[in-house]
Amino acid sequence: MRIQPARSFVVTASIALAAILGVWVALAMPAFAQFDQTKPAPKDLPAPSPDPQNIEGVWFKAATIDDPVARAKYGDSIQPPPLPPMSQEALALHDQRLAARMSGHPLLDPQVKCAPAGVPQMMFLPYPFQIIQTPGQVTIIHEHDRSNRIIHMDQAQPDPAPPPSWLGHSVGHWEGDTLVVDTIAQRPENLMYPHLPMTEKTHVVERFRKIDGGKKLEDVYTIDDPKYYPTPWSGRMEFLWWPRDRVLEYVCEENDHPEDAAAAAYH
Amino acid sequence: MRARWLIAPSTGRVRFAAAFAVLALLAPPDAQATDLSGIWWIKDRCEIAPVDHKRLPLLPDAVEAYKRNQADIAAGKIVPEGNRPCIPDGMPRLMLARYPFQILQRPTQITIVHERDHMVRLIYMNESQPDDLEELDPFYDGHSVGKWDGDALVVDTAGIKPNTVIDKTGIPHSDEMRLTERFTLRDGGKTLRDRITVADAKTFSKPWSFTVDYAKSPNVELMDDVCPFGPPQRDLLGK
Repeated sequence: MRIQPARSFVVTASIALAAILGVWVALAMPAFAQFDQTKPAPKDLPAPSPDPQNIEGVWFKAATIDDPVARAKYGDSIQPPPLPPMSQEALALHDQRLAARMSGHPLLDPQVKCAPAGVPQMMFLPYPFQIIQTPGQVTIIHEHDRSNRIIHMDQAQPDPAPPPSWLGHSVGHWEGDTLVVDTIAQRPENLMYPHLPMTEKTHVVERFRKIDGGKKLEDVYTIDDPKYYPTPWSGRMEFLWWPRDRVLEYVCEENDHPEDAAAAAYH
Repeated sequence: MRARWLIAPSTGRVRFAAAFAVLALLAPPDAQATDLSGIWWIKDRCEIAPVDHKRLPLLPDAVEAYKRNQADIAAGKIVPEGNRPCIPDGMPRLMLARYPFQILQRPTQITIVHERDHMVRLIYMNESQPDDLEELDPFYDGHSVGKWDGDALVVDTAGIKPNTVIDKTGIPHSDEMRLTERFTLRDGGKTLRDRITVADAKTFSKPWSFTVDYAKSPNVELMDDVCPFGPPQRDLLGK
C-alpha cells in the first residue's frame, strides 16, 4: 500500500512532534515537579510537629526568589548571582571557574569525583534530606551522595580543631525556636555556590528555624573566612516539609540515580 | 445537658483526642523496646566461610561462581562489579565492614549510619514488604522493614542489587536474595549481635545463617570515609 506524500508528512511530523514532546516531558518534568509547591499533599501524611524544637522529618529544597541557583535558571532574565565581598584572589578563583564553566569545559569540582558537597553547599542541592533528632545529636541524612551530617548537641568545638574532612565538624544548640549549627574543619577543596572558594579555616554558622507553621524550614547561613572574605557574609534558603517522600539510595559512582535527570536539568 | 456540652463544641477535636488516646494505648511505648542506639564496631570476623565452599548450601552454578570469585581474589583481580573501587559493599557485606556505625532509634524508623563509604540504612518499623518484590527499585543495601520480637529487632531486607558479593571471600548471591536479621543485646548491653539469615533460592539450596558481634564504642566518633580520597584519619584524633 502506498501512502499519499502529504499524509505521510503529517504522520511523520506527528510522530516527530510526539517524540519531541515525550522527551521534553521526560527531561523537564522532574525539574518542574520539584518546585510544584501547590500540589496538595495526601491527607494521611504526617503534619509538622507543633514543637518548635522538633524539626524531624523529610525536607526538600524550595526555590525562592533569594535563591541564586533558581533565579539564574528560572528567572525572567538570567542575572549573575550576587557575589559577597571578597578578596582579589578569591575573585580570580571564582572568575576562573565561572569562565571554564561558561566555555563548556568546567573545572572538576570535588563533587565530580563523588565527594560530599560540604557545608553549606550540600543544602543547595535539589534532593530530599531527613532530619533525625536523638539525645545529644541531630543527624541530617541527605539523599545526595549519602552525605550524613552529624551535629553534636552535647559538646563544644574541639580545640585544636579536628583534621579537615568533607563535611567538617558540626556542633549545635537551641536558641529558642532556632537550631544553631557551627561547622569548622572542612576540606579546603570544598566550594560554596557559586564557585566560591573556601579554606579549612572557613567557619560556617547555620540558623535553622521552622516557619509558616512548620511547613517550611529556614536556613540562614553565615560564612566567615578572613582569607578570602573581608567581612562575614550571609545567605538564606528554605526547605519544604516533604512527608510524601523518603530518602532513597544514591550512588554517585554509578550515576544511575533517576533524579540525576532532574539535577542535570536544574544545573 | 452536661454530657452534650462535652461533645458538642468540637466533635472533630474530641474524636481526634479519642483516636489519639486509643492509638497511644495500642502502640507500645518506645521505652519498652530494647535500646540499640549508640556507636558499634565489629568485634572480630570479617568473613563468613573462608575458602571452604562445602560449608555453604551452594547450588552447582553458585559453586562455580564462588570458585571464580576466589580465583579472582587470589589473582589480585577485583571480584564482581560491585567490588570495583568506590562501589558500595552492599548488604550483607556492609555489616561485616571493619568500620564503626551508629544506630539512631526512633519509634517509626531505625537508622544505621555507617562510617564505611558513608552508607546509611533506613529501616521502617511496622511496615511490610510489598507483595510483589519486583516493585522494589534495587538498592545496594536493599529495602528494609523492621519489627520488635520481644527483645529482638527483626529486620527484613529485599530488593538488593545482585552485583555484589556477600563477604570478602566472594560468596555470590542473586537479585532474589532476602535477608532476615535478628539484632539482640548481650553482655549487659555491651555487645550487639546480628544473626543474619540468607535466603536466595537461585544461589543456595536452603537458607543459612551467620552471626556478627559488635562492641559498644561510646568514645568513637563517626568520620568521613569517602572513596577514593582514602580512609578516615582516625589516629590523628587519638582514637
